[in-house]
Amino acid sequence: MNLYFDNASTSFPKPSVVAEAIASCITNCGGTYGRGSYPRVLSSTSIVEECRDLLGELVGLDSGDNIFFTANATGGSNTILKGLAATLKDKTIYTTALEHNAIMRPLEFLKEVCNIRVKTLPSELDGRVNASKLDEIDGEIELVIINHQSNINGAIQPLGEIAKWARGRGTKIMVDTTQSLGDIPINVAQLGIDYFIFTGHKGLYGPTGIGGFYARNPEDIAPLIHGGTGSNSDSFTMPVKYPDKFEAGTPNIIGAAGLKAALENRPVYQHTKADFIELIGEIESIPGVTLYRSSNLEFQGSLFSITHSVVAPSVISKKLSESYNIETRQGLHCSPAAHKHLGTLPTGTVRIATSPYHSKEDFDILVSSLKKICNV
Amino acid sequence: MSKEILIFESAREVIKADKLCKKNAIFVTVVPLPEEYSSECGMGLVIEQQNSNSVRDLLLSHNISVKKYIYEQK
Repeated sequence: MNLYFDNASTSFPKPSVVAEAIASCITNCGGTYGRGSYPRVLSSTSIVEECRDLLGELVGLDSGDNIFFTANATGGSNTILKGLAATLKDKTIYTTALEHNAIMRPLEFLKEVCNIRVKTLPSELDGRVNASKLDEIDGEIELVIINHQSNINGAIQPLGEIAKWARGRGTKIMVDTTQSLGDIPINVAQLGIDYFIFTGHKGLYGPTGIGGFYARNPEDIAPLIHGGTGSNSDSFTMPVKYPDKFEAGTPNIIGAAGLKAALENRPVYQHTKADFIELIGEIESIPGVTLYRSSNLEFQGSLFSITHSVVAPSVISKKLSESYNIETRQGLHCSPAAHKHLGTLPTGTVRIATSPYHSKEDFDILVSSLKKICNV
Repeated sequence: MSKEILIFESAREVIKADKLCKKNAIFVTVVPLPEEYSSECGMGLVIEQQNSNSVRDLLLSHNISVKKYIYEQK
């Protein structure tokens, strides 16, 4: 039985090999990344580089050369956006209506320090971009940022159409794959994406503490973190060679070991798409419940949110946990922009985030528990 | 036998070169860099001098750039 429905915060459980790889690395590895030349250094460095290449393969790249590690997706978004500050100065950026604060807060900072203008792409009620209205946007746009899958209602953006529009007008495109990578296929090269950010501990089923970003032209980005790289050590300036330019300090070798194991051992689904759609339907039909999802289930990720006309999200989540051992997250989920668009400010929602490790029986338990809580 | 030490600009390049050479049955050894190159990542690859041209071609064809080749007569 698996009653953990907070996989959008962090996925659980993980494939057992992830813990095994992490334990093995802590117990046996030793050596640091790229500093020294004894065998342990070579093997620790190899772990990180193999993980990098597996990520490249996952997104349709020839290698991991243009993928860089940070502690999380937020580290990636900050590196890209602040690293592009000189380019973005006085320019206009468009985002979807459903961006997470990992994007909105760096943009807010850039508004102050380099006078960027942030606007929202034309959107439907569910927050998906209305691609048919993109051509109505005029003026120069330096960058478009797309949250591939919302962490509130699971809506999947029409990335192909947006990317085609952006490329057609010479606008760069950045994608937040925090909720989507591992769940929704993405081919970075085919889509012509310029930047994306990712995290290891959600849809990839790796550990926390490792994430990063991709940049098609990393030479355009100034490094965010300055420090030791084990290379060009006689210089006080950061190397221009990748990945060192963006990876000062010791990388999360143990995290890379865990993520590598996760990438090599993808979980098998214990439920079907039909089971998930039935789950949505059953919850939606509970009297008093409003369910927030994509209006078209073809563009629905593995999470959604609910509110109730009488019972507050915090009460629902508390009762689910205390009475039924069902774990969910309530509130604004670090996405006030999304909640504003969906009309769920200020109290937010209860988010239900499933994983491959949920069975139909787990869904049935969730539905019956919600019915009892909402029966007021 | 004469050897060459290959110095790379990043540890990633060392790993890529090491794996590529081994995959192509070219014998390589990872070694500490000579003292005068202590500012670099710490790892160099040693190859037999006789393999120098084939290694250079192989690395070039895979976009792996070598920062420096050091020739050692043994």
